[in-house]
Amino acid sequence: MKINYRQLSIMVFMSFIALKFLALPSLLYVESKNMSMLVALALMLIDGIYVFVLLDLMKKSGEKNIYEFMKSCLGTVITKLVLILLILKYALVAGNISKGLEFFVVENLYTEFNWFVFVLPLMILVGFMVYKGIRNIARVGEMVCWAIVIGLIYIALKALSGIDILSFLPFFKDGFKPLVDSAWIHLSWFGSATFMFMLFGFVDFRSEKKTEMIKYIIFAILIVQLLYFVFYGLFEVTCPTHNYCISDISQFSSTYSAIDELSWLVVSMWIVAQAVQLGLYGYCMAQAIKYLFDIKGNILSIIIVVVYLLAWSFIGENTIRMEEIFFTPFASIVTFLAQYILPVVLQIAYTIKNRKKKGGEKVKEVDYEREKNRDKEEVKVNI
Amino acid sequence: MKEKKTEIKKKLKSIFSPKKLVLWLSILILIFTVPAFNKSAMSQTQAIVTMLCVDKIDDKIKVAATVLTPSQDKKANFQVYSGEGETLGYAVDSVSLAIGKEMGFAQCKIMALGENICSEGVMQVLDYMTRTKKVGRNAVLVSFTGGVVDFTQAVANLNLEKSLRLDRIVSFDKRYVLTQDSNIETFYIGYYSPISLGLMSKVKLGTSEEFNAIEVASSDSGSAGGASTDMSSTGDGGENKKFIMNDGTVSLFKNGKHYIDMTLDEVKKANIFVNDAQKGTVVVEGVTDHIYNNAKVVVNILKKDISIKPSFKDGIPIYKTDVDLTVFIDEVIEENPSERLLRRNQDFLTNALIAKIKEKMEGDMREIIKYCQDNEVDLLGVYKHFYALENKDFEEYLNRVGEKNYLDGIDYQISIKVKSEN
Repeated sequence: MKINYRQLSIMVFMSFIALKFLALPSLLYVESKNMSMLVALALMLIDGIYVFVLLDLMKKSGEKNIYEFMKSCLGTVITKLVLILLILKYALVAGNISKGLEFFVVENLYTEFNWFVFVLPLMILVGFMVYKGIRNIARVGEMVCWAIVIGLIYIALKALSGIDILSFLPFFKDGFKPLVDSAWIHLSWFGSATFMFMLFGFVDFRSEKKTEMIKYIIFAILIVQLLYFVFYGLFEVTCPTHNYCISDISQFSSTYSAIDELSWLVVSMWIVAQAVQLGLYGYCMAQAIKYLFDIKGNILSIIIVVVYLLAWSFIGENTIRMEEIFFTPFASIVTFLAQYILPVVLQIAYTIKNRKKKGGEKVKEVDYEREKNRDKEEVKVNI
Repeated sequence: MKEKKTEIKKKLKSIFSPKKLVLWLSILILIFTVPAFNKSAMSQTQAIVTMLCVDKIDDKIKVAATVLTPSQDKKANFQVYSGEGETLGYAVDSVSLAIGKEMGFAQCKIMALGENICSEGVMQVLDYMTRTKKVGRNAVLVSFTGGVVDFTQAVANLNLEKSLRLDRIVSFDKRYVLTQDSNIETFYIGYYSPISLGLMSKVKLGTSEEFNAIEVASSDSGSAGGASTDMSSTGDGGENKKFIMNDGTVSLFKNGKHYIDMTLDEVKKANIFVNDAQKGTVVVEGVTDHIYNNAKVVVNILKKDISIKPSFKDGIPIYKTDVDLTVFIDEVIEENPSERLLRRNQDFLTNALIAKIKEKMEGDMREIIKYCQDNEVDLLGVYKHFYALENKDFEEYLNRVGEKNYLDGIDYQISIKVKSEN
């Protein structure tokens, strides 16, 4: 069951905007103040570059899944270690989305709401999404994507008139160090391309349009920047006290018109998008567990994922917030290795392996252009 | 081994067959819905507070809350309850104890703060209400004069009797009086800014009628129709009829404490030099030329573009304000109006009138700057502009003169352009 290139682009888009509209903007503000937008921009651009590095690797892997591809390049032991690293990254992201959603719904949307009533159906949903596979997640992503985009733009534009441009000045007052510090501390909120590892061998590149992916990435960056621009311009010095960016913007800009009720519709749609993202990272985690322990079916890995997320809700209820784990250097190191180092290592390993095999058997690469042309020729013949 | 696996697969398939999935789903729905039947309706356990008034009287915090109780009888919709305690938390709890319901503040649209609490400092009240009680930060913030219960009752009756809502009245101020919304968020932004200046609309409750006061009942008898319940043992009511007045007075807060009140006239003068406030009027007198004869002219500002250019020259900060006004001649008051004023096809915005407008506005600006300097309040956002646009020089300047006196050493310049709407 493969997904097409457009679906992959939409998933990249959704992954780029996931995690960005709850606590992150206020956390960034603590270190990087009025330059927080720049930190987000820089890290998202780097993520964008790595999407293309991973796309290249995906094409090189051909029909092989990530486990088979890494095993052929790095050997079994290193592959297993890398899988542990990826499981950690997915666990961090999935845990963060799940806890973020839980806090948002239980603490922010309702005054009295039993967290279990929200968490249990959510976990059943996640389990079901993971069970149904990547194609279903991609299709749901396609369905909600544009509603989310329109909604986010609507929320941003509605609040745009209230912003104060002066709050963004002066630029670089304290130099670059706070920005670098902030980027490192909050690195784990980025690394949005890492889910692509688990899609090796599951993407049909025959429908690839060269500019499609770049359009979606630019679009995602612009939307995040627009929302951040509104958020920082609106709340200025009080930014660190706003943990729920998306709802705080819509609440602050609310007037007495009926159209304000739409904001909550948008927020609800955004919750759906977060659930899809949770399904995606749950799927990635389950796949990685499957590869690591050589599990044949899907059920066991799905149970592990759901139990892990449920455990977070139980343990994290009174003892620890997911954000606290995200603050640790451990989380930053995991993201740094998984998102920024691993693709480069794989590229190098693949090149070395191919050089060694010069004259001998070469790792099979699929020529998608030729495949595409062949498809066209077949269609002509059929006509 | 293989047989076992296929057996497990078969079992799983039978568990998750479509028919059984429906059964699972039904069980799940029952798990979540049946316990709800055992619970009482939320309106029985939670009081929906739409407005909260807080003040301090004799070392005790006194609160009064308007509680919305959905009812077919319109007058029974809003009921006022009050309580007191050593702290704000105790005071709120005392109301809960009295009415047997938890106070829910998610729908609280108005936070009104009395004169005493304003003088002592409002940040603790706001912090407690937003952090612990989850009052939305977009709740309208007003300071008030008069008793806590009387004021709350009067505002509730304003809604019941006149269909007027205080939050909307105060929000309307933004267009004509304040340069910003008077709500908790904007107050926080002002408080946490370097100049620590917050603004709040002031609403007065009086017993004598003034020209723009609205008459309302202030207790449960009379026009409130018995809908309200005053539980205060120290009821500060008196006469039944009271007058609510929003005369455009704005309370200024420094470091979270009430500092000074600005009259409508002072606020309007300040607003002309702030970009956020788009509306305004300028009144000039003694205009004489080929159209006017010693006329008093009221000019409405239709559009205003303000460009503020802070700069430094020889270490002296220059605060230059370019004002570009599009105006409309609203009223012309002459002793003996001549037929010239009725003529068509002529430009009523004459050079003499423009000169008078400029002269008046320059005078207003000098006055408002003197007001700011005398009271050490930065109403025009001078600090913010210099900090943002001339940061290094401004910090040097601040080191030289000190944070307190920075408004005094600045050279204020103004350039005004006036054009008519046509």
